[in-house]
Amino acid sequence: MELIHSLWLLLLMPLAWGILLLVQPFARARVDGVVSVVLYGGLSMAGWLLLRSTGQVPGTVIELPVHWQLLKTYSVNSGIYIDYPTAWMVFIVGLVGSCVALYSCRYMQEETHRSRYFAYLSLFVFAMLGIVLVRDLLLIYVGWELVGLCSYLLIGFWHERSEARRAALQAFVTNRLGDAAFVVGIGACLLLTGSTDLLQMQQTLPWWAALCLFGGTMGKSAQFPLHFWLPDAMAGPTPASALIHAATMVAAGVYLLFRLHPLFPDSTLLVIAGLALITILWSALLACVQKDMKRVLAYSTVSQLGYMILAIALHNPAGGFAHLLTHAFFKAGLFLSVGAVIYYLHHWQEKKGLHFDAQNMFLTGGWARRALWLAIPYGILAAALAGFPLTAGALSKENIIMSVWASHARFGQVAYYLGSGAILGALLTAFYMGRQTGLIWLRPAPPEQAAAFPAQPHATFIIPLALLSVGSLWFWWSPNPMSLEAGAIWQRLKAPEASLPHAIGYLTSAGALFMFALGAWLYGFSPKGKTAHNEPYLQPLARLLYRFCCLQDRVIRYLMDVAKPNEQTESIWLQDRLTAWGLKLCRAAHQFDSKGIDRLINGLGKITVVAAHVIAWTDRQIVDGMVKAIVGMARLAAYIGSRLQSGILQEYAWIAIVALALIVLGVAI
Amino acid sequence: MLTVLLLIPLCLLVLLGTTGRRHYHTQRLLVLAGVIAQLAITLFLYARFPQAGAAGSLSFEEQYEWFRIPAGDWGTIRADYHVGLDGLGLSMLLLTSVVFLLAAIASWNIKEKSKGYYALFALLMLSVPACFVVRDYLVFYVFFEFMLLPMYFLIGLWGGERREYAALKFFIYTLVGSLFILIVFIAGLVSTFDPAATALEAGIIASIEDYTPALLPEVQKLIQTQPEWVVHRFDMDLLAMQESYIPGSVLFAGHDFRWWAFWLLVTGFLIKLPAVPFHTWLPDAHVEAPTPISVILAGILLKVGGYGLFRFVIPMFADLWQAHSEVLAFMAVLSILYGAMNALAMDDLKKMIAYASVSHMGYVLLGAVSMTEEGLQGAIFQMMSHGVLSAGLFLLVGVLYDRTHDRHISHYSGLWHRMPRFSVFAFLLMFASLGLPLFSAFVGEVFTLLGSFRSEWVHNGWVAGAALGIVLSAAYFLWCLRRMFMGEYWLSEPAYHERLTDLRGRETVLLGICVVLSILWGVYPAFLFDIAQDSVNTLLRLIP
Repeated sequence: MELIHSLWLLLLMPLAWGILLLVQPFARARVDGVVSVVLYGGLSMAGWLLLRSTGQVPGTVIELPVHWQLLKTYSVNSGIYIDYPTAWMVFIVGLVGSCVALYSCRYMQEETHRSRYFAYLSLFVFAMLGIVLVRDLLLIYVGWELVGLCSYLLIGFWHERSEARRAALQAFVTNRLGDAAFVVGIGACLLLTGSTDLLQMQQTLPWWAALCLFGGTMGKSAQFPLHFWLPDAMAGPTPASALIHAATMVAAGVYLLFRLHPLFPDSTLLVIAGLALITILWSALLACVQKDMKRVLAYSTVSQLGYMILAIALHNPAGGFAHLLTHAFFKAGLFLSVGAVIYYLHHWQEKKGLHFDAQNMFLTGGWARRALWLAIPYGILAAALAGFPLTAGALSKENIIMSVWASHARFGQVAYYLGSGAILGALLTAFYMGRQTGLIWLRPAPPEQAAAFPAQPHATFIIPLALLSVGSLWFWWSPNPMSLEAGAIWQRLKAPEASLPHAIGYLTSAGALFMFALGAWLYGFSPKGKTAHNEPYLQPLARLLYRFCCLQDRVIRYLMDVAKPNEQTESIWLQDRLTAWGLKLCRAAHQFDSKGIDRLINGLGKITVVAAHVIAWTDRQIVDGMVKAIVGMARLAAYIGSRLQSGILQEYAWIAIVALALIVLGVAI
Repeated sequence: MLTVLLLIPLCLLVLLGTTGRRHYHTQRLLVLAGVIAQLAITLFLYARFPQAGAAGSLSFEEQYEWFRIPAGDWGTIRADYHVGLDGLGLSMLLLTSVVFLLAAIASWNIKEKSKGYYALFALLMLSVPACFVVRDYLVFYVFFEFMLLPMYFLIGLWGGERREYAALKFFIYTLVGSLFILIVFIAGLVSTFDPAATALEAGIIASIEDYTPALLPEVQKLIQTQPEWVVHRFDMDLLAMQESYIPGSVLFAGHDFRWWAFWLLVTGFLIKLPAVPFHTWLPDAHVEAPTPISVILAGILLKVGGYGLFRFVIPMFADLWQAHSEVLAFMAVLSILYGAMNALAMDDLKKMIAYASVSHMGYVLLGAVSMTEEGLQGAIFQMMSHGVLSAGLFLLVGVLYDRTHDRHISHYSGLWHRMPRFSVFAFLLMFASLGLPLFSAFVGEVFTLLGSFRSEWVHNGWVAGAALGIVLSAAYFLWCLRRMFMGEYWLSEPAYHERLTDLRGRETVLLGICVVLSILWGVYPAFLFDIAQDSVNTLLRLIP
């Protein structure tokens, strides 16, 4: 098997390409984009081939083990490990990557640092492959941090904008918070099982270790309460958001949970499922009241990631993983189609010298009439996200909802609550997608934009969108349009006990259709919604939601009226507060350091000096005084002695007599 | 070979003495040559060092008797010139050579009182490597103290505005630490004897090679009856051996003084490390020291503290080290978090990096407390990594300070537009320092955390606390990057604009060395793990 060694190329070529782009940017020709497309396209082909070879027989594994004896008692298996899910991940990363690279050729055309953008993309692909191709938790953590770095760099790509800088910092630090827990979790694995190899760990972990490992997922996959960084991350270029913050990186957390969940105890999994449900509903509600078209999709991503985690936590890894894959298709596609709208609006703005927020859905409209070639893929993709029949999204999402209901057998009553919540989430999803469809595509364009731009179709936009929207149809995933159970993924990965209540799935689909139509009608056709420049229906809900997360007045004021676009988020308030508290704490620590400890040390020094002065005084006055006294006494004695020897005979006689008298007296006594 | 290493600075001193006061160019070339020679010798030693050699054995050993004092009833006191290298020593020596090379190049522009400066620099080149290679603790102590003197003058004469205060504080602070160490060393001399030398002195054996451990009971009986034959030696190995302690002496197991001696020694080295609350000399000394001296201070002098823990504290007091592991782990976590929080509050870039040093050296203490293979290796690795990275960070500050004499983070914004190359290095070094994988700090931190997690002596809660340090370090480094390098180009003084030129060739080389080494060690950590392996094995054998 010599061919297998070329797997290393798979991993290293994006790295080499990224470094090359960083060191030697291509200024003129569009080499960077084209080579990236070819590179990632090749990657997706490789993924496809791997999928073929691992998918035939269940349990097939392609492995290139490299045992790296780092320490005497600790070795890392740093080889490549590819099984069926890994092959899928490679395929998805390559496919979405090449679509995004192709799309970026036009989207980023006028950027001066375009090469740097492609370099970051390439490094990201390398890091992402690093996560999925290895089987050792420590090495996964390496890739984990590196994708965080690429995400930071891409969010902050336009670092002249303050919200981009802030969002980049926030994303990295929030991820780090999850990663700190993840490291502790890895340490726990090492402590409890003596290894960090994913496949060597067999025993169930205690709840705290499992929760720590889940911390990593929470940060990377933006789960409540660490979810707020993802909507803000939309400050980055839209194609990068499509690849990183919709299709792949944020799914890495789900992938990790997919690998680890057999080690988690049921109690922890229930907690995780509960958190996932909160995430689903909370972010779906927030998506319903957003104005920014990218932020709607970002909250929707958070919500869909919640579905995947819910499924995996309730022992339906196949459904969760399938949703990860289908979601990668339709969410990346949605970002790209919305990104095209933003792109054209920006260009029109520049041409006309206008200034308005191009991402605000209430300031535009009528795109279905202006660019039908853009509207059709969007329609398919939105339908997939909303869960319409005949789409891939419906297959995976309804599978999840059904399996949550079916998990009653294992988890009891709770499964019903979780299942109802999941259905509610699906209805909300359909509603906010209907709302977005109505606002951007269906309602009439604002008068000043009416005849503005007959957007000519660009092949670089159409091809990726066509690919992704065709991929979002059902027949790739399952021959039966109403059930995932006929599909290959379910066959390979399904949990042993699986009998699903299909009626619930059908009902959900019907409900989704209704909610989507409702949303589209309210915002696209109803007289009030058709011309609104502001949220016409859900102001009370918006106010309630933002009150609920204790938002300050200015945010609510923004929702009521127009304010600066970067003041609209729930997270900025949180971040401001947290940073303010954190900084206060840090400044207090510094005060303590300079006033407390340092004063103490200086005080000790001063005490020493004072003591030295006291001692010096004592030395001068007492010790030296004693010496002086002794000297004085000696002098006195000498003086007396010398005075006695006067040389006068009578005095000598007197002394002799006194001395004799004293001696006699002494003898007598 | 080690003697040659130590003779180079002495020759350098003589040669520097023959140069004139104004010949700074000759002087700096001489020092550079000396530093390169030391680096070459170190690399030669590395090449010849037996990989994963027999634990406990020394390479490149040389030993000569220095003096011998007959003390009557109390036996004989003997001091040796004894040098030798083990894995820990070689690691530190490698770091020393690299950091001195950086410092020598960074000193290129010192023209004021250059002769004195380079002479003091040469003294440091003697005393720092000497600390890592000598095996006799009297000689170690002499060189340990001897580092303070040049440092004091280098900070006090070539430093910033408050240099005298900082120099004095640094000197007194570390001198107090040294005195604590001296007390324990004296106690160590009084409490130990050399069984082999004693047997030779008493005529039990004819030559020192004849000595076998089987003779130990006989020798021990002898010293009870005829103490005048006892030979006391300042040998580090004797401190580590249980059987060389004289029964009933102050450091003999069970004596009350042992507890005090332990804390005196720990405090002495923790001041040097530094660990909170013994750290306050560090920000002042760093801020006032000229750039090359900051590089040496952060790059190596702090590591002497860690080296002391591994060389003296753990071998001498392995039992007490374990008994107090909770307190020590608490101090480590306190250093990590408290240092990081202080760094976050700083507006002075150099102070921020100084406090970051306190935080990062906390991992060294944590790893040392863990007493597991991962932890000890991680701690040694962290010392090496921090040596290179903090040197790089201080060089970064130096670049800025050279140009504007202003180190305030809030006085700059969007430097990316004006100094792209400088900004690239700032990004690389700060990301490396915050523990990004593929850079060295990541390996040090992760192995320390994993090791302390696995340790039986450290409560897992402390490790969780220490893990928060990686969040805080990301926060202060990224916040600094965001404020200084990203965004719109803005300076507090318009006059800075002219002075802020991008990196010169020399500066690029300096920063490049730091980054390359960090990546090299981060991608292939086994390079350093293999060197330190035998020392770590020796330390691990101390615990039952």
